[in-house]
Formats: sequence, C-alpha cells, structure tokens
Amino acid sequence: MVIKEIFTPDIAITWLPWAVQYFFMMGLAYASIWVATIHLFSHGKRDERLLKLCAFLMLTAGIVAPIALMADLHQPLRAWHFYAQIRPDSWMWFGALLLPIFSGASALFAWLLLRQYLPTKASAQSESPLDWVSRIAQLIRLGDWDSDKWIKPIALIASLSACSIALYTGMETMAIKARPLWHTYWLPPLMATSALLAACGTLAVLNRLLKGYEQYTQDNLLLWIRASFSLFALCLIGWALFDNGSATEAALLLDTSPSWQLAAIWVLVTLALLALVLALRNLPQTLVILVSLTAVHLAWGFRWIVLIQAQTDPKYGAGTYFYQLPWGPEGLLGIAGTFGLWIALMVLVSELIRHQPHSAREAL
Amino acid sequence: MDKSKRQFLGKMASVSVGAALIPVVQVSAQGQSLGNTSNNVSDGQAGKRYGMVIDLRRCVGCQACTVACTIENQPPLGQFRTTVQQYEVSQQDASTPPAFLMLPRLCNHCENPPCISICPTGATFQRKDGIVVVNNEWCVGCGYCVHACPYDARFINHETKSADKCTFCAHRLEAGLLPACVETCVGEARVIGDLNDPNSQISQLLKANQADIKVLKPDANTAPRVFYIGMNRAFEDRINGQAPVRTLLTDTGEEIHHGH
Repeated sequence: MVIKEIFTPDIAITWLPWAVQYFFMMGLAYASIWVATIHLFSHGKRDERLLKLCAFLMLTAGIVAPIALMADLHQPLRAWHFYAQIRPDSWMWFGALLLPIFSGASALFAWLLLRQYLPTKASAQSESPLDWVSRIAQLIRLGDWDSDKWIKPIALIASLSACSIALYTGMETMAIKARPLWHTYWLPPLMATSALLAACGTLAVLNRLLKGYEQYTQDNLLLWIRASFSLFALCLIGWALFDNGSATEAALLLDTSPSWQLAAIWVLVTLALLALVLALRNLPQTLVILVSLTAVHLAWGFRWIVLIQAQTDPKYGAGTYFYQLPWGPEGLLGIAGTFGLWIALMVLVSELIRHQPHSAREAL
Repeated sequence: MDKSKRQFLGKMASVSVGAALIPVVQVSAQGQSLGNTSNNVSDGQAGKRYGMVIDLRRCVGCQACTVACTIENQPPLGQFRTTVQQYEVSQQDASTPPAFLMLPRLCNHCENPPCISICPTGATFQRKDGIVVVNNEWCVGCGYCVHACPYDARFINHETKSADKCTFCAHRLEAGLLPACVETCVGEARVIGDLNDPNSQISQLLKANQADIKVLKPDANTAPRVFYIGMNRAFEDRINGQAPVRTLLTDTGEEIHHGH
C-alpha cells in the first residue's frame, strides 16, 4: 500500500527561539556554578580569576535566562498563574518553583565571589569622589564586613539549585511522550554536559576578552573543555547506540529529510573537528579561542536542533514540517535581543567589578 | 576592558536590549482574549461521557465541517480546530485504481489525556462529561500541552495567545444543539453522543460496528473517545508515506511554501 498525503496541514512550531535562548543561558549559568563550586572544594591553589569569571557568567546569564523564558510564554504577564495552584504532575510547574530559588542562589553566590572586587568605602572616596559608578559599586558591596566564610556554604546551596535546574529543564522536555525525539533518558545528561561545554568555552573567551587575562586560568579551562567535551560526546554515542525510541526516530528523519541530514553532517563535522583539535597536546592561544567558540556554537546548535528542529518532526503526518526563521521578535530579533541584553549586562557588571580586589580584612 | 571596546559593546547592547523587550510590550498591548472560548467555563454534565464516531465510509471530504467549525468558533486565519485530511491510497498492483481516504481530525477528548497532567497552571481540564477544555483566561500560553498532544489537536491561538482546541462545541451541547461539524456534515459521517447511555445512537453504532472500530494511536495509552469506522490499520499510527507540498500561514496571513 502506498499512501500519498494530498491535503494535510503544516503544523507551526510552538516553542519559539526564545526557548533555545532560555535553555542556553540557563545552561551557562548553572554550569558556571558547578565549575566554581568544584574549584572551591578541590585542593590546590585558588584561581581567583576563574572564580571571578564564573561569578560574572552565572550572574549575567542567570538574569537573561528567565527573561528569555518569559518571552517564550505567549502570555508573560500571567506568569503568576504558575504559583496559584499545586500541579505536582507537571515538570514545568516544578520549574516555576525552582527557578526563583536558583535566581536568588546564583545571584548571592556571584555577589559573594565578586564582593572583593567592589570598592570599599575608603577606596571609593580616595580613588575619585565624583566617580558615580564607583559609588554604586561600593553601595552594592553592602558594607565592609567579612563574607568569605559564607562562600563555601552558599556554593553548595547554589550547586544543588543548579542541579535542580539541570534536572527540571531536561526532564520537562524528556517527559513529552508525543515527541519521540525528546522522550529519552539520554536527553537530560546531553543537555547538562553540553551546558558545561558551553560554559567552559564561554569562560575561556571571557578570560581573553575581559581585562586581566591569566594563562593559568586558560590552561585550567582547556582541561575543563576537554573533560566536558568528552562527557558530551560519550552521552551522544550512548544515545545513538543504546536508545531505541529517540535514536530510531532520528534515523528515520535522516533517511528522508534533507534538513535533518544537513544537521547530522554539521554535528558530526563539528564533533570531529573539536575532537581532533582537543587531542593536540599544545594549543596556540588563538586556537584555544577558536575551540572555545566552536564548543559554544555546538552547544547552542544542539539546543536549536533539539528544541526547534525537533518540532518539525510530525507526530502523525509524513515527511517534515516547514519552519522559516522569522525576522521579528519571534525569530531572529529575539535571538539578537537576548544576546544583546546579555552583552549589556556584561558591560555593566564589568564596569562595577573593575577595581583591585579589596578583602574585608584590608578594609577594616 | 578598554574604553573603546566598552563603548562599542555598550552601543550594541542598547540597540538589542530594546529588541528584547518588544514581545513583552506587544503582548501587553494585545489586551485580553479575543477568542470566543467561554469565559464562564462550565464543569460539564455529570453522568454523561461524550464521544464521537466518524464513519469514514460516509465522509466525502467536502470540508463543510472545517468551515462550519471555523464560522462557529472563529479561530484565527490558518488555524483550525478540525480539518479533513486527504490521502491517496494505491495498491502495489497496477490493476487496482488508487482510492482516496478522507480523515476528519479533531481533539480526541481522551479518557487519559496527556495534555492535562503536564499543564503547569491547570488551565486545561476535563469536564465531568469527558470533554477536555481550556480556560483561555488562565492559560499562560507556554505551549506545553501543544507538545504533549499526540494528535496535533492543539495550537496556540494567534489572537488569544493561549492554547486552543476543539471543545465538541460544548457551548452548543449545553444549549441542546449539535456541534457545528456534526450539524453540517452532509454525509452524516460524524455522530456525537453519550457513551454512558447504551441506547444512544453512538453506543448503538459502536456496538453494531464493533469489529471495525479503530482509534488513532491506540498504543499511546491515551484512550481516545473519537472512534473511526472504516479506517485502514495503516492510518492508526504515523503515516508511512509521501508528504505533500506543504504551505504555512504566518501570523500575518502570509503564505510560505516548501516542497519535498
């Protein structure tokens, strides 16, 4: 029997590119918390530069992510409805509870890590009494008391909260049985490992971009990139070999859809290139930046394929549905806007933390 | 960061921060719902269980139901609560001429609806009479239910910015009328009724055609309450066939084409 569709509808996507931005930014925020916490609790010399960059990333990405999420709601002003009843069967409802906790924990952790770079009252007055940025930065320091003892406990709380966000964002997508591509237990680990890869890549780029470049930190981050890339690649191989729902669906799409074939070629070529370059013992600095940017682009692209392209996979019909990225806020402008907001925040925060570190002891 | 770099980034940022805020402003300007989903969402009639039988042998694919539903429920341009999908079915041997299959599609008002449990606000719920509805004044438009429905029966209404779907024309049933699609069907292919009443037309039809009753995606564990008579097994699950040239309407009614 040969079936030809003569007259069937094309189903438009429901989750817009804002969702990609949310998952990407959230990934950067929670993974940078993990990096900072693991570094804080590991032996050896404390890398202040790495902690500063992690705090910078968790703060800025952690603010942008929920904004992107609100934009993906078609009724953002009704977001309070999440909190007006109990819906324990919905991962998204749990997410609505976990998200504000994460925002608070990540902002607090970032503040504790960045506090030493905010000017003390004495230094703010002596540097330049008319510098209002310095005045604001000094106010954000909230006094000159010693907060160092709080860093480790808050790091643990923030890391637990980061785990809860990694779990809910993965499970929320995985829970949808009607989308076989999503319905695999490999999806949450794939999301988490790619988030770690993206965060490490971003931290390496930020190390180069922000004043105060440290070679030691870059070497450290390269190790993190190697480890997270290996984890992500292992999860991807595990999914391809051992999953029989999602991977079967992907194989079916590869057989029939040119856009999915293109996506597969892109993923494989990027993975192969990264594996090849990361296998080199000594990497020149420009190559480290290139590798970092490629890693970030792989993690973002992975989210695009999972969240947007997967929506072109029909639940009932044959072939694939059509998607064209619109120019407006529901498309390209939304993507650019989110990144722009992130850049704006980075500029603002970098302006506040440009000072020489002042420990509490020094201030007193 | 040096000064010029910061200035450049600052300029870029100020342009795109504005862009990021556009949808929020747009949505708040959109105002309250424009759709016709009832504001006073009824809890349904206890004791009844509505279902629908669609006799494919009687469907001619005239799309009168699609039009009637659109007039009754006023979904936005390019969005439908029900459609009749059309397929060409040919056998391997050349001697048998190809046949057409008309497949009316709508919400299945499942006994075990996957769209309800995942809703983070409880905006979508099942009434006492089995009809699955959305309170579009409570829905946040997250689109989670649209993904969860295995039948593509739900969509985000472009005008109300909330989830939308077939309601079996609950407002008409409550007024003692038939749903618009049932009322207009020229071949009387669609029959709605109370599955709990053994003497109802739908119960009698299901009994008389017991051997030929099928539902869509029977293995999805959703227990649909829209039944088909005269449907080939090949149409139960995802179509294994050739896709058509599809078109898609944008929010502004602009048509986008693509072929395969």
